[in-house]
This record gives sequence, structure tokens and C-alpha cells, in this order.
Amino acid sequence: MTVHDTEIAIQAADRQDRPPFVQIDRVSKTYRKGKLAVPVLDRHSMIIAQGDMVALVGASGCGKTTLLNLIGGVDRPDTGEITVDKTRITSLSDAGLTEWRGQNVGFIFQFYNLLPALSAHANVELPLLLHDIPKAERRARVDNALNLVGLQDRASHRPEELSGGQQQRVAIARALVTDADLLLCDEPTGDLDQDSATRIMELLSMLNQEFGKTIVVVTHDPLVAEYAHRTEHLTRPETAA
Amino acid sequence: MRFLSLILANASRGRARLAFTLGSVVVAFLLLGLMLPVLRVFDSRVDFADANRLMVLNKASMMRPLPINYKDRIAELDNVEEVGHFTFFGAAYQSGSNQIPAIVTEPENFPVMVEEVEFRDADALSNWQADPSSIAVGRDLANKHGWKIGDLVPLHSSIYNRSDGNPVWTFRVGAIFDGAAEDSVTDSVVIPYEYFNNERIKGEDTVGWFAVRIADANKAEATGKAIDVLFENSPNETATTTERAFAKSFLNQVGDFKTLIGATLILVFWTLILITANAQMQSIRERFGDFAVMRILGFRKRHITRIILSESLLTMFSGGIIGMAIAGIAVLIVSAKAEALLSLLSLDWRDWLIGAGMMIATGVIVATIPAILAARQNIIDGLAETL
Ligand SMILES: Nc1ncnc2c1ncn2[C@@H]1O[C@H](COP(=O)(O)OP(=O)(O)O)[C@@H](O)[C@H]1O
Ligand SMILES: [Mg+2]
Repeated sequence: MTVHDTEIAIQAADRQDRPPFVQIDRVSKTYRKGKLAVPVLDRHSMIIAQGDMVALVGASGCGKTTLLNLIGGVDRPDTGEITVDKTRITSLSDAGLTEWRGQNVGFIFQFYNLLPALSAHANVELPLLLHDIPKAERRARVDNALNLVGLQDRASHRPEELSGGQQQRVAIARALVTDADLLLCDEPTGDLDQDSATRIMELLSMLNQEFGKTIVVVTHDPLVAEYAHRTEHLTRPETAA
Repeated sequence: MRFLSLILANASRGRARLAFTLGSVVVAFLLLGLMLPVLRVFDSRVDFADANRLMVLNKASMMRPLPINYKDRIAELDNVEEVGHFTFFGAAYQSGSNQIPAIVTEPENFPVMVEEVEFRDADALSNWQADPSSIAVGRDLANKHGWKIGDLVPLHSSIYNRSDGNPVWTFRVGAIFDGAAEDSVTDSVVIPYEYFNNERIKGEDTVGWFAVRIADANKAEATGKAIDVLFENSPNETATTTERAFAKSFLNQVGDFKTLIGATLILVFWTLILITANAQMQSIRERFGDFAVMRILGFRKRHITRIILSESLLTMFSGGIIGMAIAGIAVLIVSAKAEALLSLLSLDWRDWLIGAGMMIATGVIVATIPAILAARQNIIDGLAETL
């Protein structure tokens, strides 16, 4: 065991002591297309500790995005409970869920999903428009977030004027601007070259270590998974033939 | 209005489509702004007509004259205060195309019969009433031709020749009258009956119609009936109506025209709704991915609905105000140059109120379907569309 490995082991033990942040309790999800039923999650349980950084890996189509959507309150499970930071989100109303995810979750997608008509600044500002925040404070927060991702000088650029890596960093700034504690990243480097991917993962790592963000990263890439403290393997339930 | 910057940014995204949409909105409201004043001018003529005045016309045809001796017999009836008579002169000044509204009547009771006019100079009035070959001229008309009291004015009549066969009648300007109301038009000429009747070659001792001022407007119908009964079975039977009713019946012919304008406006707005609804729908479809992202970021359905509705209203109001403003300028120019009826044209607050109503209505209608589609949309499917 090297010193480095020891350190990681100590950190891991440390995290085990922290309270659970995301609790997934026997969650099932089946998509229905007409008569066809596609079971994706079958009584899946999982715990993510506060301040953890977890890589979610598994074959394509095994339900990683589905699980992420359930944790983030974008979709609802058929059965089972999900609790995030003491809020049982599976019990919230539709409107309550929408409001909750706007305040507590930052989403980062493979294809960035920025609004093409808006500048980087306006894209990052978007989630703040839902709250009664004075214009000056909104500005300060957006500038802060863009600063953090190193894009303060690109604030007025539109997505099409930015590289993929830069767009993803704008998306990260957008996820940070509401000060959400949970960041859900769905293949955040899937569309990026190696250098940009490294930069994004370093950024996420920094957010986890310096700001205590709890992060779940869906990925295919073993190099990306290395940035996480641990890796969860997802398998697809057997389809009843 | 926190979302305003969002809406404006989106507007700048599809510039060409926005230009087409705005263009059609501008044209529709331009038409509305031109047509509303025209429709109102027709109605205003009815407003001028007086419920206290009966019109006695020839029953056989309103173009046929009546004997002047009916006057005294009508005057004896109950509820009748004053009887006057009028005859169209058919005047043109200088050229045949320059028609002037000219009417023949008795100067003695003209100011009483026609309350819409006002003689501010009492001396001039009595001079006019004393000189049988002098005319009273409306202020607008006098100003237009630079006529002053004492000027000699040759008027060509398309209906009546003088006894020597000459259709040109030369009158002295005896008085100039103003309108009693501020916005009345004073572009007509009033000719004394006695002189006209003595000088004309045909139609002696007849008049175009009688106007009867009554004491009690509520008994207008009974009085009208009494007048018609008086001349029943005579060679010239009468048909009596209130002026208001007469004006309305005259306007029924105009009514067809109004229906036409109304139908045109409905078609124009229907087209406008189709064009803008289609453009809106397209632009919303393109943004289903955007809306899905916004929903994930915490935007509620009603936020999305509000954005779509605001977009639609903003389009209607910016296009509508531009269109109606252009119409307002056009109407101003037309009314300044035109005569008679068209000079009454004006785009006033009532038209703007109707316009604003149409902007809101079309804005809401156009936003409805896209808003429903966007609200129904599943977030995950919407996100998939951006991939
Ligand atoms: N909205 C949906 N409707 C029907 N089937 C879906 C839907 N979303 C995902 N699926 C199916 O569910 C399975 C898991 O999808 P997903 O969670 O996207 O997998 P992953 O992200 O691991 O590739 C796939 O077989 C996919 O086809
Ligand atoms: Mg996926």
C-alpha cells in the first residue's frame, strides 16, 4: 500500500462516517411503449454520502440516465422512495418537485443543453430568473460562477461561438449559480476531446473538494471514473421473456 | 417582466420569420386603423340627425317634390312647432367636378330649423334674411374659396336653370355661419327659397321635403302619422319619418358597404391569426428542447405559458401599434385633403381601444395552441429532441 493509497483509504473511511445525502430505496422503473414494457430499474437501492463523488457506469441502455433523472426529480419511479438531503422527493407534488430541483440540483448534460439564443451570461442567469433576486446580485452571482469555471471573458458569447469544452463549462456555471449541493452529470465529457475532458473533470473534482458538492457522474470512460471516489456499476434487470 | 430579456433574445434568433410575422401584423392593424374611422363616419351622420325633427317626403319617391302649400296645413297640427322646407340645388362652383352642398330654404326659420349651425354675427344674419338673392355660407367653405360678405359667387346648378335658360346663378354672400358643435362641418351654401322659386324655369311652388320641428319627441310617430293621413289620397302622398330613422334607412344602402368592410376585416384577422399562429407554433416547436431544459432548471409550466403568451402579445402590440400609427397618419392626410364626409375621418381613442382589444385577443388566440403543446410536453422527450 502506497502512501497515496492510504490517503484515499482514509478519505473513504471518512466519507463513510458522513450522513447519507442521497438515499435510493428499492426503486423500480419500467417504461411502457404501447404494449411493450421495458423494465429499467428493479428495486434498485443505493446510498450516496454527503460530499461524495460517485461514478455511475454500465452498458449503454442499462438505465444510468433514468436513475439520474429519478435522483434529480425530473422523473418519478413507479415504486420505491428517494430521499435527498432529508427531503423525500418522491412525496413531493409536481410543482413542489419542480421548485425543489430548481433550488437543490445542478444538471450537466452530454450535449450541454444551453439555450442557443442566449449569451453565456444569460444562460447562467436563467435559473436565477425564477427567484426574486435583485439585478445587481444576479449579476454578481453569474460573474462569480463564470469566474469559477474560467470563462469570465466569454460572458457575452453565444453557445455557437464557444468550443464544446467551453460550452460545458458554461453549463457547469449554470449548475453552480443557484448554489445547489447536488450536481448530476450525464456523460459530461462524452462529446469532448481528451484535454477538454480532463479540464472538466478537474473542475468537477475541485467543486467536490473545495465546495463540498455531492456529485454523481455517469460515464463510459475509465479515465473519467478515476476522478470519482468510488464507482457504482449498474446492470440491467433481466427482461422477462 | 423578468423574462423580457429572454423573450427579446429569442426574437433575435429567428429574425427573418419575425420580420414576416410582424409585417403581417402591421398590415392587418393598418387596415383596421383605416377602416374603423370610415365605419364611424357613417354612424356619425346618424348622430347628427335630430329625433325632434320629422322629415316629410314624397311617398312615391324621395326624389319627387311636394307642393309648398302643404306647409300651412302641417303647421296647424298638434305637437308641431315649426315647419321648414328644403330643396337640393345641385351646385357646382367653377368646375362641374367641384360640387358644393347647396340647399334651398327659407332664411327666416333656417336658424331655428337647423340647430347644428350658429350665426355669430346677428347683423349679417338679418342682412342675409333681408336680401333675397344672397346666400349664407359655411365658414369652412368660405375660408376654402376666400369668400367674404358682399362677394358675388356664381353657382352652377345641375338641376335648375334660370328663366332665361342659364344654369349659372350668381348670388351675393350675405352671411357666414359656424357650426354649433366644435367638430361640425360647415361646407355648405344656403339659398333663399323665394328668389330661387321666382327665378327657376320648372318646379314652381314645390319643395324637396319638409322638416317639422315637434314639441314632444315621444309623440314623433303619432305626429308623423297625422301628417301622412292629412295628404292621403292626394296626388302627392307623403311619407314621414324622424330624421334619425331616415338617415338610418339611407344608410342601409351604405350598410352593405359596411358589411363588406367588416367581412374584409374579419378575413384579414383570420389570415393574420393563421400566419402568426403558424409562425409561433414553428418557433415553439424549435424550442421544445429549450423548454425542457428550462423545466429541468426549475421553470414551472405556468412560467413557460407566461413566456409564450408574452411573446405573442409583444408581437401583436409592437406590430399593431406600428400599423395603427401609420393608419393614423394616413387618415390625417386624407381628412386634411378630402371634403365632405371624408374630412370627418379621424382615428381617435375609440379606435385605439378597439385596436388594443384586437391585439390582446389575437395575441391570446395565437398563443393558446403553442402554450398547450409546450405544457403537455414531457420533459424527457423534450430533452431527447435536442440530441
Ligand atoms: N422515455 C422513454 N420511453 C421509453 N423507453 C425509454 C425512455 N427512456 C429510456 N428508455 C429505455 O430505457 C432504457 C434505459 O435508458 P437510459 O436510462 O437512457 O440508459 P443509459 O443512460 O444507461 O444509456 C433503454 O432501453 C431505453 O431505450
Ligand atoms: Mg444515458
